[in-house]
Amino acid sequence: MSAMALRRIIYALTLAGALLFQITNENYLAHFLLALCLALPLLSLAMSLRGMLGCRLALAAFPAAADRDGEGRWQVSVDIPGHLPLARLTLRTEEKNLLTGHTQRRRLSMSGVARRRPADLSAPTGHCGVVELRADKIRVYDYLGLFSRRLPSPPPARLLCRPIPAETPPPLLPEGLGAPAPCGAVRRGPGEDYDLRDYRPGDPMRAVHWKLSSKWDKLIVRERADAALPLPLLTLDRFGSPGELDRLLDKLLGLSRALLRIGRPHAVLWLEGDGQPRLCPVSDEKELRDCLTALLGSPAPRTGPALDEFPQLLQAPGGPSFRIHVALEGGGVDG
Amino acid sequence: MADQEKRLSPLTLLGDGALLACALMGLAGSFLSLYGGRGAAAASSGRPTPLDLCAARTDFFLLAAGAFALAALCAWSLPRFRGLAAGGLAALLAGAAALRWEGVVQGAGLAARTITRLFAARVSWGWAFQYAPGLTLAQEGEAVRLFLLLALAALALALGWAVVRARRWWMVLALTLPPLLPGLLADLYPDWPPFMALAACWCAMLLTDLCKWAAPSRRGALTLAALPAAGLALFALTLALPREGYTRPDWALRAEERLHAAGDRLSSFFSQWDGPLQSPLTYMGSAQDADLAAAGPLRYTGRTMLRVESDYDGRLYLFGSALGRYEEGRWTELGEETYQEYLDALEEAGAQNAPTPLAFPALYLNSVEVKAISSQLLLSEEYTVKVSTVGASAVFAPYHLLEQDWAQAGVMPVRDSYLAHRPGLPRYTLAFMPPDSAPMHVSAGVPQQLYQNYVYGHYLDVPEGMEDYLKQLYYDNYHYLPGDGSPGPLTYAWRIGDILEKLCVYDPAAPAAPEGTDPVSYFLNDGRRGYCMHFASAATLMLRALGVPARYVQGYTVQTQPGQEVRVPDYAAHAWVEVYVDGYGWYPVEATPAAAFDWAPFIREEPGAVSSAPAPESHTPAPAPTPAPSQGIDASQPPSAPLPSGKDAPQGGGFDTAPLVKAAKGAALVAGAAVLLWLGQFLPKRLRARRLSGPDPGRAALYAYRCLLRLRRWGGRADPRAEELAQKARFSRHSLTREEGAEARALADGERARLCACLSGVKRWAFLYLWGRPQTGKNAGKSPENHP
Repeated sequence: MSAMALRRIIYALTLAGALLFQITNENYLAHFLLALCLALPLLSLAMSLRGMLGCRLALAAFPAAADRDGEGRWQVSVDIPGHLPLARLTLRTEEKNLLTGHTQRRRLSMSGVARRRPADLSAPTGHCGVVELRADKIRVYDYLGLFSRRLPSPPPARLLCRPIPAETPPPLLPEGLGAPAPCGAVRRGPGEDYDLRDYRPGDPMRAVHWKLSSKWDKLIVRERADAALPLPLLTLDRFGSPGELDRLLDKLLGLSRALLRIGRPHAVLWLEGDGQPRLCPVSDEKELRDCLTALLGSPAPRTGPALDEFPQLLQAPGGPSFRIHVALEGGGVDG
Repeated sequence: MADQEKRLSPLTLLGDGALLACALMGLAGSFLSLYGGRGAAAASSGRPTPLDLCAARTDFFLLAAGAFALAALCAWSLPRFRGLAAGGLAALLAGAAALRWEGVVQGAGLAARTITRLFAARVSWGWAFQYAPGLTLAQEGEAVRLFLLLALAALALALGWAVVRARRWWMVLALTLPPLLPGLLADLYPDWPPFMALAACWCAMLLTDLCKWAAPSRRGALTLAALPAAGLALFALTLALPREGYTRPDWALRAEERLHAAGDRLSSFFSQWDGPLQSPLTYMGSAQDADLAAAGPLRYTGRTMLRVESDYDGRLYLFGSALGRYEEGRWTELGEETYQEYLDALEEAGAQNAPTPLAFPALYLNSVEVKAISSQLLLSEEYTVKVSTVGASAVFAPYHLLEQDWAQAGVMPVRDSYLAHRPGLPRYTLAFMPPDSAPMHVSAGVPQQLYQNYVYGHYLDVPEGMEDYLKQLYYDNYHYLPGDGSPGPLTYAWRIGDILEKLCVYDPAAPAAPEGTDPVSYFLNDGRRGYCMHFASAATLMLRALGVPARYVQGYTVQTQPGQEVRVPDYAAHAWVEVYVDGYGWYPVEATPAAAFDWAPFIREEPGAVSSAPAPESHTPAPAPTPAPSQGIDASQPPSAPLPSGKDAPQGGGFDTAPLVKAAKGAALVAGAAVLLWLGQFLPKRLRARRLSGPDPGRAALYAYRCLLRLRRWGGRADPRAEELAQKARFSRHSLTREEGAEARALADGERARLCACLSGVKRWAFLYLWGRPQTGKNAGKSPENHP
C-alpha cells in the first residue's frame, strides 16, 4: 500500500470518527471538529493548487555521456510557480538501453520538492548504449496527500554510455590512404569543393542535396571532393550479447581513437538491426561522438547478418576500400 | 541531508519558533482557562481551587511559555552541540525541581486533585483523586504554580525536539492534547483564542508533514504560510459556526436514531436466533438506581430514547422503575430479599398464583364490576401505546395498564418495581385506560391486602434524624383552614408539592450537594435549587415522614397525538412520586413545579412528528397524568396541582412558515450559485474580449499569444506566426499594425474554435464555460475596431 493510499485511509477513518462523534455527542466541540475535518483538506488544496497546476517536470542526463561502469546521473527537476515547495510528487521511470534493449522500471516519490533543487538518480551504466529515461504516471499531491493531479510526461532524457577504449596500436595503413589533402592543393573555389552522386544506402541524410533531389526527382548526395580519397573503413558486425557488444565496441573505440591520434580520418560501417547499412565518417572527436551515438542508439539483435555477406557495401566512399574488420576474436585487414 | 541540517535558515527558525510559541502558549492558556476558568468554577461546587489562582495570573504563564519556547528553539536549532544544550537545560530544570521537590510533588498532587474532581463531577465514570497536603489555599496556589512552570519548561524541551528535530505532527499532538483531554471529555470549554492557537499549530504541523525533509528555507516558508492559513481557516470556521446557540443538527439526531435502530434490529435478530448458542435469557432489564448525591447540572445530548405512538391525545407518564430505598443520597430498588417477605405471605395465604403488584390496576380495571360502571359513564375507552426503545434499554409503560397477557405484549413485571422485556425486542404495545377516565374504587382482595401490609412495612423508611425535620417543615408551611378535614394520601402529596414550589426553585443547573451532606437536606435547607430528582426525592421523604407510603419513580413524559409517532428525547426524562392508595395501588403524583416543564421550546421535532398537542380538557384539576381519585378515596379538595406549563402546548391555528423560510433559503442559495457561475463565465470573457480588441495592436498580439499558450493545456497547438507577432510586439522597435493585431487575434480565435470542435463530453462543457463559445458567422474575424 502506498503512503498516499494510507494517508487517504487514515483521513477517511478520522472523518468517520469525527462524524460518529458528532452523531453521538451534543457537544459543540464535536461539531467544530467535524467541520475542521472537512475544511482542512480544502485548505490544503487551496495552498497547494498553484504548485499542482503550474509545475512542470523535466528530465536530463548529467553529464550527457559517461563511460561504461562510470557514474551517470539523471536529474529530475521540477519547475514550480511560487516559493512554496511541492508536497509530494510520484512518478514511474523507465530506463531503456536502446542498444541492448534492457529495460528497468522504478517508482519514485519525492517529498518537499523545491524549485531549483533537482533530484539526482543514478543511471544504469553497466553496458554500452544510449540509455533513455522516460517518466510517466506522474502525480503531484496536495499538502495532506489526499488530492492529486496527473502531469503530462516530459520529453525523455538520453545518456550516452560510452565504451572504454581498448589499448590498440594504430594499424599500418598504406601511404596517403585517408590522409588529409596535401597543402597547396588546387581548390576549385567556393561551391566546387563538392561532387555530386546518386544516393547510396548508408549515406547520411545531411549529405543529401535536397534542392537537386527535388529537381531531378531522385536523391542526390553531395560529397566533399577531398573526402573522395579512399578512407580506411572500420567495419563491425553489431550483434551479440550485451557483454560481447561491450567488448566489440571497446575495440572499435580504441582503434578509432588510435587512427585519429595519427591523423587518419576513417569511416565506420555496420548493419542496423533491420539490415540497413550505416556509414559514419570519423575525422575528429565530435564526429566520433556522433558516430558512437548513432552506433549505440539503435537496437542490436543477438544474431544478425554479417557484413561479409554484402560485398557491395564494403566500398569506402570515394574509392577502393581499405577495410579493418573489428571482431571479438581476430579481425583483419583487407585492402 | 546532513548538509541541509547544518544550515540554519532564518525562515526555518521563524517558522519553528512560531509553531513552538503557538503550541506552548496555546496549551498554557487553554489549560488554565479549562481547569481554572469561569467554566470550571461553574462546573465545580463554586469554591476556588489552586488552579483558579493560577488562572488569575494567565499572563505570567503565557510569558513564561514564550520564554521556554524561545529557549527550546535555540537549544534544538543549534548546528552543533544541540544535545549538549538541551541536556544542559534539562539539568537546570532537574536542579530546580530538586531544590523545591516537596513543593513540586504537592503542586502535582493538587493539580491532579483539582482536575480529577472536576472530571468526576461531570462524568459519571470519573474518579476523583484524594489528596490533602494540609496547606492554605494561597500555599496550594503557590505549589501548583511551581509545578506548572516546571511542567511547562519540560514540555517545552520535548516539544522543541518534536517540532525542530523530529518534525512529527503526531508527537506534538501526543504532547499537547493529553493535558486538555479530561476537561474536553467533561464538556468544558477552554478560552477559544489560545485553544485555536494550539489547533492552528496542529493543523500547520499536519500541512507541513509531507515537506518535513524539504530544504530548510522552503520548509520554513511553508510553515510561515501554513500557520496563518490554518489560523484564518479556524477563525472563519469559528465565525461560520458560532458556539452560542449551538444545537445539534437534525441530521445527527436522525443518524443517531438510525444507528440505534440498526443496533436494535441486530439485537432482535440474535434474540430470535434458533441456532446453536441460544441465549438463556427470556426477559431482561433492571431497575436503574438514581444517585442524587452525584446529580450535578443537567446535561442532555438531545438523543432520542423512545418513539411513542398512541391513539391517546394528551400527556402520558411512562414509568421506568420505581425505587423504594433511600440510603446515602441514592435511590435503589428494595430488592429480591425484601420482596420475598411478600411472596412468603402470599404462600401462607395460599395465593401463590396472585399477580404481581404492578398488575393490580390492570386486574382491577378489567374486572366486570368496573367495566360495567365505565360503560355507564361512557368512559370505557381503551387506548394502546406502541413504544419503540431507540436509545433506552428498559421498558417504559403508561399507568392504568389494562394488559394482562404480559407474555403476549413481550414484557414481564418484575417484583413491584419495573417491567422487563424480551432480549432484542425493540417495540412493544400496551393497552391502558386513559388517565382521566380511570375510575378508582377500593377493591381489597387478599393479595392487595397482603401487599398493602408489605408497603406499609417498607415504603415508609426515612433516613435517621430526618423524620422530625420533614414533619416540621410540612407543618410550618401548611396552614390548616377550617374544613380541611383529614387529608388523604393524594392530598398530602399535592400539599407537599405546593410547599416545595414555595420553598425551592427549579434549576436544571443546580450543582451536586457537597460531600458529606445529604442531598435532600441540602436541597431543602441550603441549596433550595434543584430539578425533578430533588423535588421528587424530597416529596417522597416528606410523604413518608407523614406516614404516607411513597416511592421515587423515574421515566419519561410524552405528549401524544393520535396517528403521530412522537420522538422522546433524553431531556424528556423525568422523576416523580408514587403514592400508595389503599386498595388501588401505586398512584403517580407530580412533585416538580410547573416551571420544570418549560423545556418545550427546546424540543427539536422531526418533520412529521408531533411537537406537542393541546392539553386535554381534564375534568379534574389534578395533574394531567394523575386523575383525581373518585370521591370515595379522598374527600378533600384537590390542591392547585403543578400543571405543566402552557408553553409546551403548540400554537394551534398558526401558519407554519418554517418550510417556506427553508425553501426561500434554498432558492436564494441556488440563485446565488447561479449568479456566481454566470459571473465566473461572463467576467473573464468580457475581459478577454476587451484585451484582444484593445487600441494597442501590440498588446492585443501579446495577449493573443498568451491565450494560445493557455490553450495548450487543452491540447492547443503552437502557432509560429502568433509567436513571431508576439516577439515582434515585445522586442521589435516597430510597433504592430492593426492588421497584424487582428491577425494575432484571429489566430487565437481560430485555435479556440478548433479546440471547441475537437473536444467532447465534459471537457467540452468545461472549455465552453471557461473560454466561451467561439464566434461564428458575421462576428467571426471582426476587426478590432468593430469589436465591442
